[in-house]
Amino acid sequence: MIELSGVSFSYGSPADGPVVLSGIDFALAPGECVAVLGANGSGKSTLVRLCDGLLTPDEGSVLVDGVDTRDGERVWDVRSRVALVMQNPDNQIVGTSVEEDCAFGPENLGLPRDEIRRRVDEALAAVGLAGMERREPHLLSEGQKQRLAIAGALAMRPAYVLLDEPTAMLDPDGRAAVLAAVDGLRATGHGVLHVTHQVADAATADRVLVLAEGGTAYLGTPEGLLGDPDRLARCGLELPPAGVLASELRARGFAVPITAMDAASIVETLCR
Amino acid sequence: MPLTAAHAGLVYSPGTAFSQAALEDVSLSVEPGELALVVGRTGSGKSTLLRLLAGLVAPTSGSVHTDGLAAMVFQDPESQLFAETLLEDAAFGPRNLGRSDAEARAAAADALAAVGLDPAAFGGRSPFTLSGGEARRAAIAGVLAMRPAYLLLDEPTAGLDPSGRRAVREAIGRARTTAGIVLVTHDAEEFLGDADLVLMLETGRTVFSGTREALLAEPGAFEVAGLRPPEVLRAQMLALPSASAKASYTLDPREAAALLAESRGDAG
Ligand SMILES: Nc1ncnc2c1ncn2[C@@H]1O[C@H](COP(=O)(O)OP(=O)(O)OP(=O)(O)O)[C@@H](O)[C@H]1O
Ligand SMILES: Nc1ncnc2c1ncn2[C@@H]1O[C@H](COP(=O)(O)OP(=O)(O)OP(=O)(O)O)[C@@H](O)[C@H]1O
Ligand SMILES: [Mg+2]
Ligand SMILES: [Mg+2]
Repeated sequence: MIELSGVSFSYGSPADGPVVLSGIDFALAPGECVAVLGANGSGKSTLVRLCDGLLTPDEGSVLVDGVDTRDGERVWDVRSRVALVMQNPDNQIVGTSVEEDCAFGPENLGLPRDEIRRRVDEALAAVGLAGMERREPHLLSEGQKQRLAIAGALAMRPAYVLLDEPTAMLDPDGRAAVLAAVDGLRATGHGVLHVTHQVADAATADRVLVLAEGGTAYLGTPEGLLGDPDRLARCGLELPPAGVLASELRARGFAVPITAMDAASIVETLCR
Repeated sequence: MPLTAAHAGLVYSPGTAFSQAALEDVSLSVEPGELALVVGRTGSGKSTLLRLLAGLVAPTSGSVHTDGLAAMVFQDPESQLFAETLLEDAAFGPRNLGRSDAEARAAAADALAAVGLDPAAFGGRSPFTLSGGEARRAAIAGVLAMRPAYLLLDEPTAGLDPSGRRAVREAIGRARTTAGIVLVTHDAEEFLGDADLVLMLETGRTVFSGTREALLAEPGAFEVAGLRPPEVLRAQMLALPSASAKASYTLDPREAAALLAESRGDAG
């Protein structure tokens, strides 16, 4: 469990910096995926950095499987349990080849060579980078870099994976691959935090957290948010066009589920 | 003469062991007032095409011509921000083009406001401590402030919240009254309605080039490019596949709901 209790944080000194997050109570359990939404600057990336110990709270505490992220002697216990995929993949490239970059995390875990090889091959295949092992990471396209960053996290097989807008620059296949990987992680007992601006991503999560003005604007089921237009608007969010299509069809008496945001599931209910 | 790429090709590090073909025989022409949308899978050559149009790299075959400044907003906004404050950053471009200090700062403040970054709150901030979406907005402001003849935008709304998307789309609309726009996106749905031209790339080659109307009439092109049509369009393709229905395909979700409901009879 990653547990945030009464967490406040500001980037300046606590006295004068604007407070980015204040009084946040939130927990991510193994085996669940929580989507995190909110306006630009609402503190999503800050929250993610607090969860992996890159930042520590000014007030309150963050515990990762019981370990306080402020405990300097147990930094490694936190780092080996949590993998973070940063919003900007350029900030995360460490290797001089794709395979070397992907192996960085597993190598730090001290795994045997053949196990590292297996994990790297599997992770690169999962994100569609098989065949690019020898390419130079900094010469990849942005979407390829994003896929590589995700592969690096998958290869660590950590208890918790924090994905900061992992699909912002991916094509539809890439998005589907990442969402499938998220499902796989969740099914095998990993906890996933998925920061996104896509309301459709919230539809497939177990729970949704919306940040606004330093606090929690919503924490609950996807249906409770997506099925409530006023709440959605108060959170500064909008349905994607497919969500508008679905709600128009509901208004016409078709039983399209609240979380149906893709053509196939919308049309499927029409045919019933 | 418009901004034109004629049979342009690009091979990175040609003649070396790392040689990488990124574009082959791609042609595109944009006039002031026009918006061309460029879509394609990861690695298909979209950013490479923008770099060619911006003159940042020279084509290794074919040619690129422009009659005015073609300025680019990079896909990674952080690689574009450099000054001490956001206001200085956005003023750099216009100042470099010979505008007076006062003019440059005014243009910078206007551009920051246009992308939803209040100059009073953000003008004095360092560009290096911004959130991802704030950084993208700042990078766009820096290029808008230059008022280029051609605006080359690489994923301008990736990572933006709904109000940011709206602000950027409106700013693009205003710029378009005088400038030509080439816009790369993974979210074709968002900009298809604004596009005069659509270019689809797949591993560096053109798989579709034509008007928005031509694309709507032949949405199978998305699949040829390895993409998915916008969900609203896909719903119509799945539910109303007949050739006669194709003519009325729409991107508007409300119109699409009416079409779909009509075809199934009223459920309620
Ligand atoms: N290193 C820093 N120093 C000072 N302020 C910062 C720093 N990093 C972020 N901020 C500010 O803190 C606030 C929260 O930033 P954060 O990156 O967490 O937002 P976000 O919700 O991830 O936004 P986005 O959707 O744009 O990625 C923003 O207003 C940002 O400008
Ligand atoms: N400087 C470079 N040297 C070598 N190869 C490169 C370089 N830049 C890009 N490439 C390769 O050229 C191809 C096209 O890259 P480009 O960045 O144009 O793709 P893109 O369509 O913009 O992709 P994305 O959607 O991921 O941003 C990719 O295979 C990429 O790995
Ligand atoms: Mg962020
Ligand atoms: Mg690109």
